[in-house]
Amino acid sequence: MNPSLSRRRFLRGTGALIALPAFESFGFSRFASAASTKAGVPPKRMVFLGFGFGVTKESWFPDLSQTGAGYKLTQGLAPLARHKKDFTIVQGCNNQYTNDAHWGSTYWLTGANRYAIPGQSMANSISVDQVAARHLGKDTRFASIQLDSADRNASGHGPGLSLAWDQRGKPVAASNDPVKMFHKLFSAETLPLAQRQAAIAERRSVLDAVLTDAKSLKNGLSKGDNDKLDEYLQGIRDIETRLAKDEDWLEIPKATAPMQEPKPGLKGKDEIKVMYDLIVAALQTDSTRVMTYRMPGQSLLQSLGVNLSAHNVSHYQPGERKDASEARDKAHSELLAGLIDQLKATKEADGSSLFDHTALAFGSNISSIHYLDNCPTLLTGGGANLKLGEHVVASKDTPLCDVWLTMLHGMGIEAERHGDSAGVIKQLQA
Amino acid sequence: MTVSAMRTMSILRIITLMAGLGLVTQAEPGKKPAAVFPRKNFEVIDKYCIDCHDASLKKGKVNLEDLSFDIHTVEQAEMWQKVYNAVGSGEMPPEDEDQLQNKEKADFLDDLANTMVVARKSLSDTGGQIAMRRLNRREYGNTIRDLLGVTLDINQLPADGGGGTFDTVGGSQFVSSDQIEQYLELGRAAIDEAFQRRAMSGKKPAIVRMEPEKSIRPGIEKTASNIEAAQKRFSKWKAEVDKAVAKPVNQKRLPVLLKQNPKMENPIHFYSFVELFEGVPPAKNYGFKDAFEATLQHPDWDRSELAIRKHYMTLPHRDKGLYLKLAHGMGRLDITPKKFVPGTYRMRVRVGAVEGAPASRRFIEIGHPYSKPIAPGRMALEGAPISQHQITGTIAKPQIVESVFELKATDPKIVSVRERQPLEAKALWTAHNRLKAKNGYGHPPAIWIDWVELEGPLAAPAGSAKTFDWWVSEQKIKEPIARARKILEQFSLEAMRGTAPSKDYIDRLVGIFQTRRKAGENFDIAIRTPMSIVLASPGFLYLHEPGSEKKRRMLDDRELAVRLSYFLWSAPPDAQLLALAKQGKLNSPAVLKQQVDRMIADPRADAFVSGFVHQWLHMERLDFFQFDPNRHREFDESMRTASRQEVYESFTHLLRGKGPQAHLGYMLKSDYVMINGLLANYYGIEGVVGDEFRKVKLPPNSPRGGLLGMAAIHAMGSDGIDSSPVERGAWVLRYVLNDPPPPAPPNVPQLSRLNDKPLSSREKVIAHQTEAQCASCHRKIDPIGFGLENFDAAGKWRTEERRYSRNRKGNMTPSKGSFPIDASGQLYKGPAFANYFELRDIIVGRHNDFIRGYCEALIEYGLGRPTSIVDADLVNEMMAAAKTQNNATGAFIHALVQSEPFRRK
Repeated sequence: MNPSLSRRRFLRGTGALIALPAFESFGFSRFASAASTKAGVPPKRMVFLGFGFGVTKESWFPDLSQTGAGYKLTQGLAPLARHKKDFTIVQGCNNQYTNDAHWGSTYWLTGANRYAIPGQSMANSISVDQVAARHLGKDTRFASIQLDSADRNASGHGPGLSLAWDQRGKPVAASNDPVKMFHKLFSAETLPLAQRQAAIAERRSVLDAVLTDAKSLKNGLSKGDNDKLDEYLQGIRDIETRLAKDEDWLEIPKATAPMQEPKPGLKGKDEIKVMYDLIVAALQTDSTRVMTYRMPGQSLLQSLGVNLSAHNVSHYQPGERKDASEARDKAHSELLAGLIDQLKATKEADGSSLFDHTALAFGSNISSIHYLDNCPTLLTGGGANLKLGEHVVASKDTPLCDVWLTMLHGMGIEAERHGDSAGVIKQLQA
Repeated sequence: MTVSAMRTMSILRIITLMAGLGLVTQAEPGKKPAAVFPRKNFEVIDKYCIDCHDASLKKGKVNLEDLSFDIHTVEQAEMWQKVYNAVGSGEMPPEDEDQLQNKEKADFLDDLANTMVVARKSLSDTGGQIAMRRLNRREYGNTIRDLLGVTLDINQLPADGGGGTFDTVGGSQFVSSDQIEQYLELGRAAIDEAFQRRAMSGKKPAIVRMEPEKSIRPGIEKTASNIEAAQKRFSKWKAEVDKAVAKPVNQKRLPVLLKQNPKMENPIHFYSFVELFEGVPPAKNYGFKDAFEATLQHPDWDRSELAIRKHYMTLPHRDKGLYLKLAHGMGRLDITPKKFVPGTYRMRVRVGAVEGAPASRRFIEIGHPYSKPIAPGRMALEGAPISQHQITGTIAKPQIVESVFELKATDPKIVSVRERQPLEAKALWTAHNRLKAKNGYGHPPAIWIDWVELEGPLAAPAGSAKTFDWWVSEQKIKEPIARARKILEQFSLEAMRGTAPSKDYIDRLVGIFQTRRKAGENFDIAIRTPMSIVLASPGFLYLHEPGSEKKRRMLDDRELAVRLSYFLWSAPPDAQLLALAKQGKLNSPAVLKQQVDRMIADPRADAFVSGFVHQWLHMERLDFFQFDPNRHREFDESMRTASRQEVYESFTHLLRGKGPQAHLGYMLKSDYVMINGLLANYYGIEGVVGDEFRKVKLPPNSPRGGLLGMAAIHAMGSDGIDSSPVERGAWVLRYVLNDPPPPAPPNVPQLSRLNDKPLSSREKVIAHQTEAQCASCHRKIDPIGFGLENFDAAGKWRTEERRYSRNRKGNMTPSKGSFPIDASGQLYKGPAFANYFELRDIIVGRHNDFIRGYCEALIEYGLGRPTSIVDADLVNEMMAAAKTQNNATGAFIHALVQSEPFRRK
């Protein structure tokens, strides 16, 4: 009997309750290089940048009475002035179920209800980037790439390993090391093909071994415990999917790096800068089309010469803490303006820019201090066909997921809904 | 139908409901509601809401007419949450409609908030079912340690629990593909290290000794003489400059330049600008890059801190040792092992305190140097120190401090020693400048070090990590495949806590071994791959117990041993437990009792204390804030660690205690404290010297003794700057009185708008209570917090609160005067108290509430599932059983272990 087929059959059986995409290795079409599916039309990309603890309310949000294109940029957004026509600020959206004021990223892209599953103290659901990855990730070496910062616990992101949550609402891991990420994206494989093939085969035999153990465990477990074990099996299945993808790309050399290898040990502002470089490089080489980045908070402040904790700063009051909060907002805007510069400067094969084909959202579930009712949201890039250069004030309590749904539709992904979305936001559509 | 007719209808419906006829549309027959919103609130809904939100109008898609007051489902709970948010934020009723009276609104919100607490809890009820759980990361680390004798950095794994439950609750754990890959990698690292340690065993540990007067002092003195030379060069240059500036042409230019560069007014910074004058000799000729750099060496400025360097060079005993500096200069000694191998190391420091140094400075910290490029100070340590030590020796009679610790493969390979100090150096710099203005150099020395020694890796103590004992016997088998099979069988059996995996599984592991052999690896390397796979297999990772929902069965003895050992040790069962299980004796109540006693007495039970108490009392808050070193200099990382330890030690003392002295109530008030020298110094208790914790009798009328007198608890109820009566009050309600207030709602205003006025903490909080939506919870929370106001943010006793106001830069700085502390108050619908001591007695009087909370926490932690309504009997049973034992802290554990739920699948 072919062990791998039986393994897959076994996995299928256990995952019966959850609708899952077919194995991507079947009917997978290969490309000589990581180019687009249709010659001449650059692919669409999606990027999410989450900053955890919120912004300084008084100096970041534009005046609610000035909507449309004629609004005045605030102090916190001022460094973005040269791109004013190319981004949109959305106010009034929130995730209705989120009520933990220190969790800026956990539900930011999912809109889930923490208490949705009886008997579980914390539930989540798929994040919008992963929805996009299921559509945009088929033709690239990496279905999606998650970036994170090393100071993850102190920056108001909440539980999770990155901004991304998979279709079962489990956290997706990220890389927080720019150097490693660079090598993952661009370093040529040193081992000969046969050895790499052998390594994948061995990896499969490792999975077979643990699955054998899982099988003998399954016998006799109660239904509830079986469901629990299914999480493990699903994890194995995910590794399988990854291996299958690795196999498909085994003979295709990696893209040439359009940037230098990052210096090790970068922190704060420098880390964000280099991660932005990596985002541009990964998108430009079409190594992936979906990226998320859970950004540093604590070390960003440190690199600005602020030695208060990010949490302390989030509870700002006039004085030192508020100054620090505003300095952080400003630094973020400067960095983001730089990223937009780069996206605009990077040309696609047809002469358009990477910016034209990328949809980027910058924000957090936390508005300001411990307010959760107006999630700071900045949208930019031409990828989702949004109306840019606007200040949009959505009607009160509009689900933030409406923004995500609008983006998905703009990307050509006809999702019926996402999270608790009620529908698309017409004002946002170009 | 008219509005009034509908209203009549709804009232009719309400009456029917109240009569208990059960005509609720959404009610699920036969199923007990998760929570019941008290019926008296019908009136409010009817009066203010139903006109718009009835079944036919359902304005905003909100239909309150059909919304059951008995909450059965998540959807109903969500709708009630919406009601709470809307009324709480003042959004509803709309401005032009009738508004709720303040009291009415507060009571309504109070009821609803409490209902939501109950609903949330029971909606996450599992009906007593225990979901299979995997090893959480603490348990994983301990299991690897027991199995292989290796200490891993478990922080590489994602945190468990997250969001209000214990990390032992299976229903809230997850596992992902990334985590499985991590288990494979960590398992391999552990196996590799085990082999490495085995190879080292029997070898003599290497010793590195540093004599700082030899290795460090020459460099220090060289730096000092370089600075001195530079200052001399500056003075020479300055003399020439002064001459040139005095020339009429330059004097004429001076007023113009002063206008352009106001900084020139400063007699020191003046020299940064002198190149603007004519005929001034270039600073380059004197060995400086430019005038700015030259000015740094102005002796009056002394930016390179020559004064303190020179002062320290005049101190005696410099030929034998080194004085540690604070703020500037050499303040931290770093030492590196000759050859780094992960393992147990011993650091020894021969050290003495300087005569006249204040008691609070007579401490040293051992730790790793700060490794990130941006350090909060040049002498910073990475995270909390490994250990801290009080120095009782003197320079004439130094003492030898000893610290034994594990260096993990992932740890920095440098170990450091320094004087105890805050993480953030800025406050020390400020103090330095203040002192320098007085004494001419800055901080006087407090610590003198003769030498530092690092020894290791030490041989593992006998009896630990016996895993590889059997390895030796397997070496007799000559045929490699047969030997590998035997080893893998044996290893799996141990790793999987006594359950033998299937033959098929072993076959596959052997196959992988063969593949590695074919790839050219020798036996000792090839065997590691299949061994590390065992450590990522579900049989190792999950505490699995076969069973079915329909028929709950009792655990067999082996399963009981596993549940017990992970409960009390967070580690796998030892040989004795497994032997008793094998003999089928463990389930006997007498044997169980004896084993629980043995396990509690074992040092491994420390893992229970730190794991359980930390989560039970929500002590993660202790790490939430950095303490402002200007206001709370002594609450540094050493103190944070010690204050946490005080809570653990106090609990351990009761847990391992016997007789009436072990009453859990002593956690609330006791006439003793469990402290060491550092805490004694902090609390101002005389006569306690040394690093070990011990029981110290308190003078009468001491505020210490019991949780409410512990620094950690008060630090948790602060933001690192000010005390927070709200956090403290809520903590007491939640964890002491077992009467949890609803979680702080999002979107309520912070008190920052009041912050420009100098107000006492109490005044700030009272401002809260002016709004009805705040008052509903705060009238319960705040009085308790006020009663604790005698403790500052870092838990020091105070009778007045310092007044702070904004300076020109907008920073809060101390201003004249202070607020006297008023710690009087009255519990909501409860007794009044005049001060902290009376409040403490009121709380002690409610120790049964505390005990109930403790039982619920034990159940959740021990069974690995949320406590629920079905546990009411179990809690009562535990309380009754423990009562016969004088409420001894350990008696509750015995009662839980003996109970059916603990012994049942």
